[in-house]
Amino acid sequence: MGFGGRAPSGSRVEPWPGITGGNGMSWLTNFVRPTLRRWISPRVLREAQWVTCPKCGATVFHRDLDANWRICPHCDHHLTLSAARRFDLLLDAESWARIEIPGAPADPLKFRDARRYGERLKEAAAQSREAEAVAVAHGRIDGRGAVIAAFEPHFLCGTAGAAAGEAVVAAAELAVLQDAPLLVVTGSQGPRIPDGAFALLQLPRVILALRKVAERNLPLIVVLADPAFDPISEALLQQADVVLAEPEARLGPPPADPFAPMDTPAFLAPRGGVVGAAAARRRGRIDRIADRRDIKAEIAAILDILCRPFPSATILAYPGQETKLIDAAPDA
Amino acid sequence: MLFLDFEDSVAALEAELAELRHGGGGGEEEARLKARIDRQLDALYGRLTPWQTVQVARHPERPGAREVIRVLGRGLIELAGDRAEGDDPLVAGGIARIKDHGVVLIGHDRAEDGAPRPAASGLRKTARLLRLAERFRLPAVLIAAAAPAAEDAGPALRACLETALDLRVPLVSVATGALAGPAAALSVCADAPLMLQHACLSVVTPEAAAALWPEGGDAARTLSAAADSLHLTAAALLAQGVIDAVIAEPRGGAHREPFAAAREIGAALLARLETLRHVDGGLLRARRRERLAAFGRAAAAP
Ligand SMILES: [Zn+2]
Repeated sequence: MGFGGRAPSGSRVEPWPGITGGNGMSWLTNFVRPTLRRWISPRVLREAQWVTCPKCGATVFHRDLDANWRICPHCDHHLTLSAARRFDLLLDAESWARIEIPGAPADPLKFRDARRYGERLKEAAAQSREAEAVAVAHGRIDGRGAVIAAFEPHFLCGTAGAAAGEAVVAAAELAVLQDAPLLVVTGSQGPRIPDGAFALLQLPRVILALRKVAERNLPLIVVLADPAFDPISEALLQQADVVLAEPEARLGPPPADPFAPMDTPAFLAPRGGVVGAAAARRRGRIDRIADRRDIKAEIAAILDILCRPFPSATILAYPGQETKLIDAAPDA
Repeated sequence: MLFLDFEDSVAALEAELAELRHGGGGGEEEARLKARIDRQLDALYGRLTPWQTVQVARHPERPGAREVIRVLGRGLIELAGDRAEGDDPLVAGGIARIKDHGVVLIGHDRAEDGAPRPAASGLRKTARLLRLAERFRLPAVLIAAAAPAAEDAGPALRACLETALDLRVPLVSVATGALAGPAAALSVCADAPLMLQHACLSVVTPEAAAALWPEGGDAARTLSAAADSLHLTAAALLAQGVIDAVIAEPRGGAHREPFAAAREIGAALLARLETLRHVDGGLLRARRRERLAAFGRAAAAP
């Protein structure tokens, strides 16, 4: 339903407007919910939302923001993008389909903090309209087949637990099966604590699955989108053939509360150990920084070279040019 | 244009030419001057001493590896980082197309001031790009305008050489500048090591080698003697079998026509790639190792 009246992190109510499908409740839903709820359907309410850019503070109508791939039209800040929109952005229209992820144990520990974890899961599913924190699709990028696993930052902040690990593993297996390149888009605020050891063990599982992709010499391209605060993203960056980063994407350790709302000024506040894309590039972690709207073209160009081995046709002449080679040593 | 000290005569003629052009230019006179300059350059560059060659190879306006790579690679996609700790700006790399071949391009540049820099990160970046070439069966091309400094980079250099020797894809190198030091070996590890006509490659710099000469002698003559003795010119290395071929430079050196020089490099590369791409990867690797094994082994008795 998505109108629980409280931020998922507990009783804290953020003073900042939330976003469509985001985990942060909007001030509107927080503030006027009791009266509005009686006569406005959730859908209408969702569409009435305005979004405040966490960087420049400008207010943008959510549909305008969405049409601009959630890049602030005033300051170019890249807000978190849902997995569904990510597929729209990267894959050729009508070329793609989602993969159903084999079920992972939901709430294996019957975890409960201030709230029941089971409740959080249901709420997250309703809000994000995703089953879990990683969604997988296969389709075409400029005509070339590819498998994409995208973190869903709006499902419990993309926190990575058993289901997320399972989704990345499934994507890797599908890539091997289809002999297709694998793309992973990050967007996670940390490990899914309520999954306990199941969350912990996703990292080695993912490493094993990615190795199979590497053994088949299939390209692994990672798109670093904000935030990448979980250990799986870290491993992906290490194993990737090419890492493209969105301009302000960050990587680093998870915050104290991985369920804390995103796309707020607090979310963007500097924190120890967290580095931005530019610094990560200087430190040798990533290859290129590209605007969200340019990333598809970059990926297509990279795959065009990596996926095409030597041409079998023989090309012998380089038009209009003869190499002048001095084959004998004149005066050695 | 920065003139080297043996180019005084050319500098004088060029000044004359500039003056003539400034005064409105005279068709016939200008053509005559130009022809004289060309003759003068041909004469000078036709018999450069090794030490003069070193100066040409170090000319600040000589095309850098990054520039050459940008001319060579159609749709170059630069890749950054060593995936460990840094991104060495003196090592350029990426994937591109030369003609229809997808290739991995790597460029080693000299620091602008010529001073050596810590190079471990650059060598790791090189190794990482070579591994990318291997994984995706792309030929690798190394354009070396300089050899990365190897001080404190021993492990990175070793790993980089090992990666190069293990490749089952063609590795073609072109030394375009003055290469000296252990990392210069990387260029020679290629299946087809090429050199620009006025590039040079040696175990140490002539300055370092000069320490072997008695102190107190004329410095310029000592350097000249050291450069002579190192046999570091492309022609000398070709005669020793260290390199495979020499790429002719435009009249008066690559720094006079960087673009033309880059095109010559491209044409030479393409010719080698065309040959090498038909060779089986395992055979390529075996041949590369065999070629190296021969250096330092006394010729078998007849
Ligand atoms: Zn903004």
